Amino acid sequence: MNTIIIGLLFILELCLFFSTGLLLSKLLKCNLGSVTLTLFTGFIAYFCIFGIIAIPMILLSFPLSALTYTVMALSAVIIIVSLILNYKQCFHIVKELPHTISQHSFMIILLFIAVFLQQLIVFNHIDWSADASYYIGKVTTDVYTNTMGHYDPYTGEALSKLDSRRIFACFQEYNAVIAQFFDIHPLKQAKLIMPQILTLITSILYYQIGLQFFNRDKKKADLFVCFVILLDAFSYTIYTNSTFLLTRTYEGKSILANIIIPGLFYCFIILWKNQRTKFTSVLLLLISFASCIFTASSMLIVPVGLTAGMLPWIVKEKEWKQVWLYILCILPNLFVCVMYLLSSKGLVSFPIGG
Amino acid sequence: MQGILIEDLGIDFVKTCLTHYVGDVLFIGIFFAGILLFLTKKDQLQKYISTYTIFLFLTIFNPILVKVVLGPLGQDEVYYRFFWLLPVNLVIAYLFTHFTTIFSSKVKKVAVLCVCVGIVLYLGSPVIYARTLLNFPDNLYKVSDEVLEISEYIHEDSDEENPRIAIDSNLLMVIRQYDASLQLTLERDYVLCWQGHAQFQSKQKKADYQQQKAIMDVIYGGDTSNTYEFINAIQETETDYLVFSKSIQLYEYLVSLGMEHLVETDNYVIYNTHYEEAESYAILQSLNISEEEITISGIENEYSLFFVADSHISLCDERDSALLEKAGQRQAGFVDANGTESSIVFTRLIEASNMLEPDLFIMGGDIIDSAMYASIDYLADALEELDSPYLYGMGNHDFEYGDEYFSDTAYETYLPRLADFREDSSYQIQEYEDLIIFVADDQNNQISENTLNGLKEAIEKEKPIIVISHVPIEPTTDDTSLIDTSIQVWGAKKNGNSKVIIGENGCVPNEYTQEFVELITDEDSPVQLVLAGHIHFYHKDNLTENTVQIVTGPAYAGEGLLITLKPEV
Repeated sequence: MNTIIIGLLFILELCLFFSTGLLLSKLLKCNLGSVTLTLFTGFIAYFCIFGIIAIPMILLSFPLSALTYTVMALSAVIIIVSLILNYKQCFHIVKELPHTISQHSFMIILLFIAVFLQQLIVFNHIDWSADASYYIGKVTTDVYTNTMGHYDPYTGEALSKLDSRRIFACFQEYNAVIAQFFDIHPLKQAKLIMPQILTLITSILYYQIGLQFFNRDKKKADLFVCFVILLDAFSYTIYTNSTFLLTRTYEGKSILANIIIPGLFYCFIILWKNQRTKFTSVLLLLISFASCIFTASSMLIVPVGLTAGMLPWIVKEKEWKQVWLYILCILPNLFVCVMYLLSSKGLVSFPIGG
Repeated sequence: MQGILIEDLGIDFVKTCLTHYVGDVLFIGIFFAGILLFLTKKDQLQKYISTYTIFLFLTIFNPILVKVVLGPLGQDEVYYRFFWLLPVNLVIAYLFTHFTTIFSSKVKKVAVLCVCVGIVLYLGSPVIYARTLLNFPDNLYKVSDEVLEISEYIHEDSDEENPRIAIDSNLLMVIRQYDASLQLTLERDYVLCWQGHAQFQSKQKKADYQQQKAIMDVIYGGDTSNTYEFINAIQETETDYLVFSKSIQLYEYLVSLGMEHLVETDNYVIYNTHYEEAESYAILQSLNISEEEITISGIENEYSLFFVADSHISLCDERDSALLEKAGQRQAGFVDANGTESSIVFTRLIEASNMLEPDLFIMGGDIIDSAMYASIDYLADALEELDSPYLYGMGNHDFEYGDEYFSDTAYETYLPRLADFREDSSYQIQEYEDLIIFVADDQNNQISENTLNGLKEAIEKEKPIIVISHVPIEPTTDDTSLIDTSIQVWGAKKNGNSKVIIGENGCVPNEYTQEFVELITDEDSPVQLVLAGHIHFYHKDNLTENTVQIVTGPAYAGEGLLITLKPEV
């Protein structure tokens, strides 16, 4: 029964992200034309919305249940509105599925095996690291106390102020929201369901990058994904992004390494190929903003990545108007960086309860 | 990367970080080759991938810039995360896919594919070894079943919603992930400090660390030498349960402290500390209190006496600045087996006395080492906490002061400093309905005339008497080893006599002392028990056929004597 509930939640959460992606594409009036790209975009967009709701509630010391009901109500609205607005597209997707699969030929089997093995590795791996005791301990503690960051995850001691270093990185509160709303143990959401979603999103992103690399040749993109998964599985030092993906999947840092940075790279490829659309700019903005929601580690890495990916292109292609996009993209992380410096100097603190 | 610092490595920092980041993943070379290859191509995308990588190497991976810009920001330990910006596996996978699909022949495609896979297997380092791939987690929580068991056992036993536990280091990181209702006593950083991790050693200076260390010493290290600190820490942290490895054998020790062995799992053992009651166990555990039962003829009631001598409290401050150095040296000499200073041990004896609830607390001399204000104040504070009445007889040290030792100045100037603790006399007395307790002051191994007269007056009351003399009296019986043992411990006088016992073979008694001894040892003497100290070791034998003499060990070592006086049946 537990396994069925976990499976259903996995599917439900994917549906939620997909619905968000569909809604975004509707709002932007652009047909993404791809289930996987819609899912990836929805995942990023959903966490941007989540962060916008969660951060003020955390700062104002709202109980977790307030966030849970707000987020879940909004999620329900997103799914319903998205279905109403996009039901034709959904039927089309289902109708086109056999054709889409046929474009992959036998490579899709190889791809599924590779993705399944990667999911299996993530499912079976047990991580007892100190970081897990903080990140997962925080989810469990928040659900148990119905608070957001008011207790020390390591010991359970009450805190007098919020952890200013991670104040904007509220991704783990999403796990707390799901655990609380569906009344499942936080470990099941944080260490079983979410890592599977994150691994799948990573593979989807590899696939989209493959499509960009090989001019939308699905077979080559499939092979490309298989190679990346193989390379990830053989890239072990404790520092690599691959190690984080396969062993510390649940951490915001892993999302930075394996979704945010490759996501930026995906956008850069489109820019570099001069195939920029409104969607690319919006996605770039969303990824940059979402990075702050996932982890505080992004505050320097993402601006550096944006600079390396965009500035040479702007200069070479003389796309001076895109300087504004670049500035908008780095602003969220620069803000986090400034807040971090101020709090580390003791100039800013976030007392609990006001 | 721990221990890899810009400050130490300078411009070699980036290279060192990259070397550690790459480790045994040697196929990263293909990435760099690919980047160089892309530079030679006309493809815009490939050129930009090269430009992006080169830009990173000119900026964030530029050793000089990193040293100058990042150095002051203190990002050394997390610098490796910038390497995530390099699209290593994406570029390699791109090259492999490109070369695999470049051929039209399926045989060639398969051959190239095999070569590519072979390169990855040969030059890579697997994240998860194949043998662990099918090791499914014990449960859907992805923690060991033991964690679930431990949580369940504790909640079954505890009445509290949030029991506090001190837990094995292997479970420390995981238990609260599963069960947030448990509160942990031991903090991660302090555990890592205790385990010797270099970057956490600065935590040793924290007061909390010392408290938690006392617990870790026991449940991680099996060190039971500091019971009092251990129990103190358990009490102050209000730790309800101890969970530690079964390889640490502590059953007898913890049970002796009143803790309850709850249950064992495959690898761990759980104890309920019952910490509210543990203090008494800890105090008694840290002391060495002998219990004696003496039958006294002529009494109808039962009495209990708690007797201590020779704590030699040697606290000194600026008020007695001339003695500071000497007091410091003396203080270092009067410690218990764990190195605990005598004043602290004395406080524990007071606490023990309060627990044992004697009718009378008797101090048989040398309680303080010198009549210094700091020592006297400490004693006053300690006795303030005492629940029972007390008597305080002088030893040879209590009112000495530097060179003033039984001198007129000592009597006129320094003995009065102790006036708050005793009657202004050379003996102290506690009279009960059917018993007299007589505490004689020492006068340099002799007894004063005044003390002698005091005993005579007591005898006239025709009640059984218990005499307390700081210096033991030489037994008249033949089968005693007191003189010989005291000579072994303290050496002999030139004439071969003991230096520390009153008697013919010790310090030869003067006129008053001789009469005092005779009053005690007389066949019809009402004195049925003599208690003494001074010689710093325990000894019990018959002073005469009718009178028992018990010498207590030194209080600075935690020794005390609980005597129950029983009526003759």
